[in-house]
Amino acid sequence: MFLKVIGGILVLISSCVLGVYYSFKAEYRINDLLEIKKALLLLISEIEFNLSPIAEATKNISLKVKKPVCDIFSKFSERLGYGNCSAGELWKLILEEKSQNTYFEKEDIENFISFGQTLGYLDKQQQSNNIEITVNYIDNKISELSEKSKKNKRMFRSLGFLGGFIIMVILF
Amino acid sequence: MEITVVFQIAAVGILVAVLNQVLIRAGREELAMMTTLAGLVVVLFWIIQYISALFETVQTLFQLG
Repeated sequence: MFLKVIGGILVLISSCVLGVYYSFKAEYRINDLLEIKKALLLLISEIEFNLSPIAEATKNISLKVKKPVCDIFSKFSERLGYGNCSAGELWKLILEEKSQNTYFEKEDIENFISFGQTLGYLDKQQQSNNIEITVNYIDNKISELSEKSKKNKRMFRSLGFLGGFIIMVILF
Repeated sequence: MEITVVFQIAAVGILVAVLNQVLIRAGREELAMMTTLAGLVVVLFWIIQYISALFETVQTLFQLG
């Protein structure tokens, strides 16, 4: 009996934690998206005004943005120039490698990869236009997510608690 | 028959009802229906032995089959 109660409490606590985690997941994703938007805007200014090469630009950006986005840019600038893959391929490789540390979903990653395909060989105007498209995608996603997360936040919390309770009752 | 199963069924009923309301408020009607169905199935699994006992009792009482 005593053991059963302890097990039930453990199930309840873990499902509550899971509910809280899911309720915050959208917020963390918004934070990451905002951070990468900041990085892309910095990249536009690097391209337009400083005219710096891509390795230097990404290195500067990595110093200005927070983790985990800064890791992507610093790794990119580090590995650019080594090996024989193009900038787009390297960008894709690093995004796929580093995306475990971020809260980005698959569609975000795909969008960033398609942005990376044009990295480094178009002219100045075309590159900044291309970045603009990705920034627009991020803006749309953020407004959509913040609307959704407000609604889902309370649902996930109560769902975690009630789900845990129901499992406890069923197993008891 | 154990009385605890009655309380368990009551608890599952209350929880499923609340869960249903929460999910409908969040606009996930199809998930709400799935939880209701799942609750129903779980409770049916619990009481199926008692139902079969009831049928056997009826059979022996009226000397059928």
